[in-house]
Amino acid sequence: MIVEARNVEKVYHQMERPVAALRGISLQVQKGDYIAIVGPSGCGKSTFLHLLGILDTPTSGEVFWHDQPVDSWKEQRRTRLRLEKIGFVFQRFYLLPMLTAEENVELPLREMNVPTSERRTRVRELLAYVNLADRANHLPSQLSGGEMQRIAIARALANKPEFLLADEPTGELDAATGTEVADLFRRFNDDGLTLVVVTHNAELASSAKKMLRMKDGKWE
Amino acid sequence: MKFPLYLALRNLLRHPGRNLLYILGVSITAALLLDMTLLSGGIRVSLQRVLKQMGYEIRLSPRGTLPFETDAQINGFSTIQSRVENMPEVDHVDALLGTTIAVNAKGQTFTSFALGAKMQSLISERIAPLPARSVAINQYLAKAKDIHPGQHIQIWFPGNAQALDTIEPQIVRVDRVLSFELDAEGQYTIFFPLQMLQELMGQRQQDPVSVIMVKLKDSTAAPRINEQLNKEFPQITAYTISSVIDAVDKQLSYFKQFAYILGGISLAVTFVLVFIITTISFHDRLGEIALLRAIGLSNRTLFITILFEGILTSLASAVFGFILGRFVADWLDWILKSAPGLPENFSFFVMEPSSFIRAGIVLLATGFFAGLYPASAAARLPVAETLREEIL
Repeated sequence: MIVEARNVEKVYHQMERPVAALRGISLQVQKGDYIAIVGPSGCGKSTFLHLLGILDTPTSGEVFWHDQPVDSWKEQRRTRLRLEKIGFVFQRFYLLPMLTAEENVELPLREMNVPTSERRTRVRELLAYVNLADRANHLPSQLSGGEMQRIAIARALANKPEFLLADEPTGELDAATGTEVADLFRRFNDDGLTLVVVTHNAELASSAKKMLRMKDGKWE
Repeated sequence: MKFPLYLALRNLLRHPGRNLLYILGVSITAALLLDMTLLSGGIRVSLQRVLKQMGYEIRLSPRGTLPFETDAQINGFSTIQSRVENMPEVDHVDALLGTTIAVNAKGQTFTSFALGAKMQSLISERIAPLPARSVAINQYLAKAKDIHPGQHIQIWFPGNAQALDTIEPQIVRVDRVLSFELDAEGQYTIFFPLQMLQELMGQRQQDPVSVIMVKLKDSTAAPRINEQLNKEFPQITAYTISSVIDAVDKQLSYFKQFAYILGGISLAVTFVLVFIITTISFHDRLGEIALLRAIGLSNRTLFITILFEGILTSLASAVFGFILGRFVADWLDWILKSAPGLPENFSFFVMEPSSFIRAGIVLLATGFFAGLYPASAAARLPVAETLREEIL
């Protein structure tokens, strides 16, 4: 098992009033899984994804990474885990506008102090993998939305993560490019990558092996 | 360190036009800071340079005054000279006598500074002794009044214009035109052998001088000999180069205070500007920074990156600022040097490498401290919360 959320709850405080985003839900993600989480806006999908991605800690319940409870880990160790083992794709691509596609993809590799030649080879492979080898030296402003999301996906895969988390990855894309992303994720999973995707996109959700529905912070 | 520096550099190039304007803005305060650093130490350095150039370790002036500070004189120079020259550490003793005289040349009457000297080391060019009843004039007087060697001029002692009709003038021959080390720009100076000046003043008996200069065989003995001279001659105050500089420094302390106040203000403005620039830049990029944290960039990397942004902004501003500061310092120096009574080679702003280094270090430290808040805010950014707020 890669990651497990056990009976997690998350309560936010808005205007000093507690608001429960997650109400005691659990999930086990096994190697090779491809899970889509769907549900209405504000039902807690992204919050749950942040817990699985070790970006946040639950108010109660626990998250385990390879059977080890991670919530008590120091931030430095959690950050290192994200760098080495987890890939993230967000609705907004968050590419650094002053870096080329290639430079954006190599960011996690630079943080890991991967030698330049190895870094360049890996980035070239990744860009080819997402069919953007010819866009390596383009700035984000010179790329289409679909291309930018594929660069963000390549960046998420740079450190060969054990699993990939995607939060509404097609949210800012048109239908055709949304299909491209769905195809890409399917391919990644076929190649052995474990994925958890939060989406409103029916096509993307249907490309997953397993679909879970969430409502008001609970599984439906 | 390489990765944060890379990110910081690229971030600064993200909005080149905007950042250039920021940097130019900070440059102005950096220029002011440099100028104030130069001014705070310039007088001391410049005075030291001028005094050392003259080559005397000790100066004696009438008790309680600085050399040439007042018209007070030391009488009995020859006696003092022989007593001081008897000291084994003393190489030789020289003196200067300064006074104001009235001059008539080619039908024009004007006042001039009369300088009597026993020696010629105050004169740029080494010269042969002057013939009897002959003087040398400086280049400013020669040019302004069109006086040439060989011509005769009339002089009156004292240089009181009201008394000219009642006192008989003395006639002297202009032997040559020279430049004098201690002349202020545009100052009229007439050089006399010391005894001749004393005679023309009618004070040969009193043997007066304005300042006595002592050349030592070993300059490290200056503090000891200085103390000894102060004890032996109650009518004079002896100064070593450093004590005369300290005394002048005290009298011109308002310059230092002025420099410190303006320097402090420019430092505060630099801090506020760099702080605002880095903080605005940080707030513009909250989502991006949260993403970088999410994909595994450490707190340390982001902290150092933003710190570097502050430091690099200061560094770039220092480069522009120092160029600007250099020109402004020259301009201000020119204005200040036009004040009367200052030696021509005296400067208020001395371009010492140490001043540039000091101002540079202060600027870099300012950039560092100004970047601390946004850097620590970036390192403490709640990732999930920021990403959620960015989407909303």
